[in-house]
Amino acid sequence: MKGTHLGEFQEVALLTILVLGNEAYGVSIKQEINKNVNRAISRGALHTALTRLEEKGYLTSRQGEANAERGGRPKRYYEVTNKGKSVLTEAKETRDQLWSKIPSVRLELQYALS
Amino acid sequence: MNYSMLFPNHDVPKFYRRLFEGICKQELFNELQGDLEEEFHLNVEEFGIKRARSIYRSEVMKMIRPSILKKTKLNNTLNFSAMFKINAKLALRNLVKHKLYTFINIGGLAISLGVCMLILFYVKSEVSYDNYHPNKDRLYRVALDRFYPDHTSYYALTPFSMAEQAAIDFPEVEAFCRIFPGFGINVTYDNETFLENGLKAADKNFFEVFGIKLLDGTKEEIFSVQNAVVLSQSTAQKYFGQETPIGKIIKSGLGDLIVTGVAEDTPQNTHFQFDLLLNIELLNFLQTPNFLNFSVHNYLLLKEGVDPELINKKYVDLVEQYAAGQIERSQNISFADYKASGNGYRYYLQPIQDIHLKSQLEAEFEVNGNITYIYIFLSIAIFIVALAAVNFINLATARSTERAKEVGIRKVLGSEKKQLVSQFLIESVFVSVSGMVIAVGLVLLIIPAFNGFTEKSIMLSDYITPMNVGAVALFSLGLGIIAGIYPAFVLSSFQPVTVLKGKLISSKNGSWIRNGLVVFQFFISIVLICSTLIVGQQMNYLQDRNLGFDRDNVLVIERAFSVPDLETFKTEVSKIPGVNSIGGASAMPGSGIYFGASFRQDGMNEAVALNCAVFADDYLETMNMELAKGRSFSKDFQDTLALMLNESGARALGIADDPIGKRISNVQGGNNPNGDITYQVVGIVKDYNYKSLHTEITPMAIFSSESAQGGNVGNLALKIDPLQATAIVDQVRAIWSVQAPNETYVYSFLDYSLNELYLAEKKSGNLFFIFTGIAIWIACIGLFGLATFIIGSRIKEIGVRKVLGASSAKVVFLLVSDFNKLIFIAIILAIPVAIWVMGQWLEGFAYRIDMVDTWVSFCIGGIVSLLVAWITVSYHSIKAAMSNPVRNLRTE
Repeated sequence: MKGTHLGEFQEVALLTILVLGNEAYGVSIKQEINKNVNRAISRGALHTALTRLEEKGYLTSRQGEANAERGGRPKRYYEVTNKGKSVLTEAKETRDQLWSKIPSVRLELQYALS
Repeated sequence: MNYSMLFPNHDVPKFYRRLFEGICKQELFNELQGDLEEEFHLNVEEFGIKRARSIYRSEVMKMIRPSILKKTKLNNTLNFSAMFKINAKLALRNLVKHKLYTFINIGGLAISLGVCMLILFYVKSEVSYDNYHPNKDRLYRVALDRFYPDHTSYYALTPFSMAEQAAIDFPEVEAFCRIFPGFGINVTYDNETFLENGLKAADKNFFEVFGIKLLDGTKEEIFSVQNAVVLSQSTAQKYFGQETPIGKIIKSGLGDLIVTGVAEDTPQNTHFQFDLLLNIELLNFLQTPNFLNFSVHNYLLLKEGVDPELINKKYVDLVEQYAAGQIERSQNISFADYKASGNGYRYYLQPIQDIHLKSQLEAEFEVNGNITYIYIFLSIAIFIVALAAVNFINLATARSTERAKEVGIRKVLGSEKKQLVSQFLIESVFVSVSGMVIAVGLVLLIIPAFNGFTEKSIMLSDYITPMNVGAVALFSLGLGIIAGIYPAFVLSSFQPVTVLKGKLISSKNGSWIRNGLVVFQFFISIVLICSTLIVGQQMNYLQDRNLGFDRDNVLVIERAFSVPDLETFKTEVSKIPGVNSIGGASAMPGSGIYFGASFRQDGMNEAVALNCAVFADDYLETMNMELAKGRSFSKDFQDTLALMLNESGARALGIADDPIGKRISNVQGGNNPNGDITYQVVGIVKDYNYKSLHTEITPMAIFSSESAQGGNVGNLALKIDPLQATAIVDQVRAIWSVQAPNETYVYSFLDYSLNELYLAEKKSGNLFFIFTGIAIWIACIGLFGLATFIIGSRIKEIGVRKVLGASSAKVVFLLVSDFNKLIFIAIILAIPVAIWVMGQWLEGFAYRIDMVDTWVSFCIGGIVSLLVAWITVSYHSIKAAMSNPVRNLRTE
């Protein structure tokens, strides 16, 4: 987990934050992940991931406005740093490279005939 | 948790929000809580409040992860945490090293706490009687102290109109309800006949006054027809299975009954139980206004804030107003004269919740509990825990010599007193908490057996509430601290220099406290032993007391009136081999229902009320009852107008000196003032206990079965050969089924039925016995542990003595005699306390052993405790005395 390694869930979180742009804060990130990845994550789990990413320098955050819905508590908005963006690109490139090396015939789903 | 009522504007679950605030890092809380709250509101809109709350709760629970949790103080102050860890480690090592000591402490504590919990469950279930009625604080039963010239009787059964008239005349009464105690009837449905003994009859508002739930039918209409019946759930199940019971007709001795309701089975914690509940209006014989004859249990619901004393006072006037006339008509004397001769009625209200534990009247619905036992059990619970705690303190201080060096070294290395205290406290809390955990396990194992033993249905799961769990946790923590605080301070106050020089070993410091505690333990044990023995003595006394009749080998055929031709039946039965004699009576001793009648000696004005029974010829002979004077009823005489009395009865009528041949009138009174029947006294039966030994023998008159009162003789008593009992029961059954084919054959053995009367005492006695055994055992293992350490610390002294020529026997004697002193002091203290306590208990019996006769119990109690102490101590004493002195002295 240490160093620059990007976990699968962390990658999803970073991408989601990029999708959301200026509107990326706890609730919206969580909902977006739930919607796109089809998996129920808790706010607590998300917090852990976001903290890790921030420690690694892939994210920055700033305090935002508060509203009554939130019981007057401020939001915290997240933004992907350049370092974060490059690590994402890197991850994608690695993957694309691997993809491109796979002969297309091996990708066809194989069904047993009997 | 109904938050929507408290917070109509849809708020998050308060408790969980607080919990979250408590566990979450300060700097994260605002942001995360904000997110959760926002999401919560979104969820409310989407899924509704309930689902949203449950999501919130689970979200909070999932917040429990290291990145979010607040750093605890333990983690924060590194030093403290390290200290705590090392202390816990040391405590654990110490406990593992001294296995015997740990076993005595934890085992003793676990058993005592387990017993304590069981007792508390038992007490809880006893005090929960009738606590579920809707207006339980305002609901009372009318009870009666009936004064007769020579004795007083206490009745739960009171006249039919007592509550009704009170409801009419006293504005303070909101409602009344009567319950008729019932009798056995045969009930037939679909060609199946059952004998139903759980029959009761009640007024229309029964289900409004009492908290028993009506599962089927409407409260207001269940008794709108006269022959309505409400069944208990299990009875309905028995008759109708899957069918709907409502509207069904069942046939019974009282005519056709229509089922109008099904009630839940009467909760076990109710002072009465019913299977069938009739409309009281169906019982014609009750319906006339009546202020004199005891027939029903009367209940009054008072208005809010009314003092029951006020009603008690008003009842005095009510008796004057309504009952007096009835008495005057029937007795032919003025009520004032009647009262002057020592007769009287005192009606009073019993709070319904007090009935089970505080009411031991005649004609209760069932044998009630006894508040004295509750107090006794509670004190035993406290004693047992105290004993275990004392063990703990004792052993800890006794070990101080052993641990003194450890303390010295730690102090030299810079331990503060505070840290030492905390170490010892951690140790004792660990012991008490693990004791509690084992105790809970033990209780889980024992509860089924305990339920069977006490005939209760205690479910542990009913008691697992956050409240109780918290209380138990707090209690074990508190117990650990209390038990550990004294040793902790003693041990931690040692001066390192003295200790390390090896000077301290004179553990005399704490010895008086230790001795005091041993005395205390044995004091409690001896009180318990003596009390148990006295309980046993009293129970034996009741069992063996000459009741005035033979209780053994008497087979009772009940409901003999069901047989159409009783004489043929008797002849047939008497032919069975093994049946020695046969006699009938309206009531068997101990179980029967006696009716009341007033008698007046010819030429006298005043009438006396006596309990009455009907005997057939040969009954006296069958029961082996003794005649004091005269003759008994017999075939050789025409006994229509013959009467027998018991000795008390003769005294009550003032004819004790020369009763035979005296003419006595049975005063009819009421509607038939000239209908008095004059009987001639033919015999006096020696007083025999026709009720239970809780009450004294009261005056009684006995009619012959040939008399006008005769009619049916409900019970047949057969004196049988015990070896053929089973065969006889079967043969009688065969005869019965021929002669009374549609009736249920019910039989019992007299000695069994009589023992039932003392069942409550017997059960409590057994419990008492077990608890006492446990208490003594705990005291003993404490003493055993103590002896281990005390003798261990004197091992060199013993060596020196032996070197100087003392024999092993002498040394053992020396060691044991130290403990003897303590036991003797305990015995001297314990005896007066036991005498006082048991004196109180014996008060509850009309027939009881003399306190002087209990000296045997005290002797045995004293000797047993001495023996137990000797055996406990002697193991170590002998081992020490036999050991080779060279080995013990070598290290010096």
